[in-house]
Amino acid sequence: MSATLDSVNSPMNSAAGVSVTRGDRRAARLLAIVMHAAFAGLLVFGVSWQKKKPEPVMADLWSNLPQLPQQAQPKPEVTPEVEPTPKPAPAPKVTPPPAPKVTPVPAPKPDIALQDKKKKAEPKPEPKAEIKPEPKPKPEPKKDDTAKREADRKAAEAEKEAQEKAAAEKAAAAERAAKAAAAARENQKYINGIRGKVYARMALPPDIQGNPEAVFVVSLLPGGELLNVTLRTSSGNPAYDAAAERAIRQAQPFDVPSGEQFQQYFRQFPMVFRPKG
Amino acid sequence: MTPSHDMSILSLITGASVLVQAVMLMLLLASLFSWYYIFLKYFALRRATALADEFEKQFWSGADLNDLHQRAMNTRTEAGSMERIFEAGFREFMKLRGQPNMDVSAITDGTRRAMRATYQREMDELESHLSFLASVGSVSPYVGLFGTVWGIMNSFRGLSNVAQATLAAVAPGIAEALVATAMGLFAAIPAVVAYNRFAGDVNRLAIRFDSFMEEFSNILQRQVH
Repeated sequence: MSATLDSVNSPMNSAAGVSVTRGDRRAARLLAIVMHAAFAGLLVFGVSWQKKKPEPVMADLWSNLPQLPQQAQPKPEVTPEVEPTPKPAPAPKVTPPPAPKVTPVPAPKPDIALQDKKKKAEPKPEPKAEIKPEPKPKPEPKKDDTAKREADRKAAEAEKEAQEKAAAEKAAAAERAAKAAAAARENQKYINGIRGKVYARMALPPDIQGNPEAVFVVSLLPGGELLNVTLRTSSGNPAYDAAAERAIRQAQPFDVPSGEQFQQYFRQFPMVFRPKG
Repeated sequence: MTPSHDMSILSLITGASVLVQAVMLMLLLASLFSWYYIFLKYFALRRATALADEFEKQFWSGADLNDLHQRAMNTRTEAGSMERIFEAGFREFMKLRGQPNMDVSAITDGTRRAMRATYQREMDELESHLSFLASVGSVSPYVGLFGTVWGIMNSFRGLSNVAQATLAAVAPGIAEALVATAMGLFAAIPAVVAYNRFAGDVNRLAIRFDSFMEEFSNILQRQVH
């Protein structure tokens, strides 16, 4: 009996010890912990590394927004340096219209300040200049023999008038330039206001690379309400174009000047978008 | 409202509710233990296979059975399963043959029973902890899912108190909750793979032991005559 019990017990003891050694246990424990630590490290660093990328883009957007109108309003003349693109767009429109459009002004706007009255004074010389060429041809065919004096007198008068007119024109040109500059300055103020308003509502898509440029043609109603927006030049990124258009539509109504200035500059104007200002 | 929450994994875990955190801790422990057993089983099975190979080579190289038995007795603590089966069978055979008026079938049966007993014990040892891996593989996805469901439930309950329902109000809660499912899967997948692998290995060893037992019984039966 005792012999058989021994023989049964002994293999059991040995069986427990052999297949797994103490070194195995230690190694397995260590490997399991190392594996988990490695995986956790990969997960934490991998994910945080991915997450940090979009954040700078967001920060740029928010920091740019308040600066835009603030910088532009106190220093309108500096704006060309700050925003090279928006200015050239409206500028070409500014220079051609003033000459023809100055004359119709008086009718709609009697209440404009002194400057406008001076303006009205300037255009007068222009019609005179047109009259003058007439007298010269007239004397030659009509009164060759009868009244040379008259012709001389008229010629002298014409010369005088020409000189006066030239002087007036010079002054007018200077004044016009000054006025145009002032108007441009004021326009810039409004444009900056509009830009600020639109940029504030702009939700940039996250995958923008570089600084692509999108140009929209914005048509406004006199009250500042949006009539129409059309994309003139795509930035190449449809998501960005759509975001900009949405922002324009959401930002209305805009603060616009009234009357003539509106008709001239804000009825329809191009708007340049850049993700980074 | 802040535009973006801190969505790193660590903040997701620390921001989760207590129950979800408990689930995560459970799953982490399950994963740790399952990997511990995975490595342990891997070492053990690799050694068992190597020892069986070595013993079979010795056995079939025509060595004397008494010598083999002597060696098995001496190195009992580091012997392989097959060697131990051989040792138990041969010892029983010697005892039975020493006794008077035993017929051949009684000796063979007794030897076979002794070997069978050792075989069962060895198989039990080889298969130990495999059931743990199987449980982790099948249960931890459900545990993780439970944590996720609970977390999502809470985040939707929080949503009911907000006047304006936004995705930003629920998204962090859902993300936190989903971490639990991820951890459950993370614990389960290796456990299932390892279980299948180890179960196959143990099965192959069992077949080898079985066939060895049959062949050894034949050899002993021939020796009786």
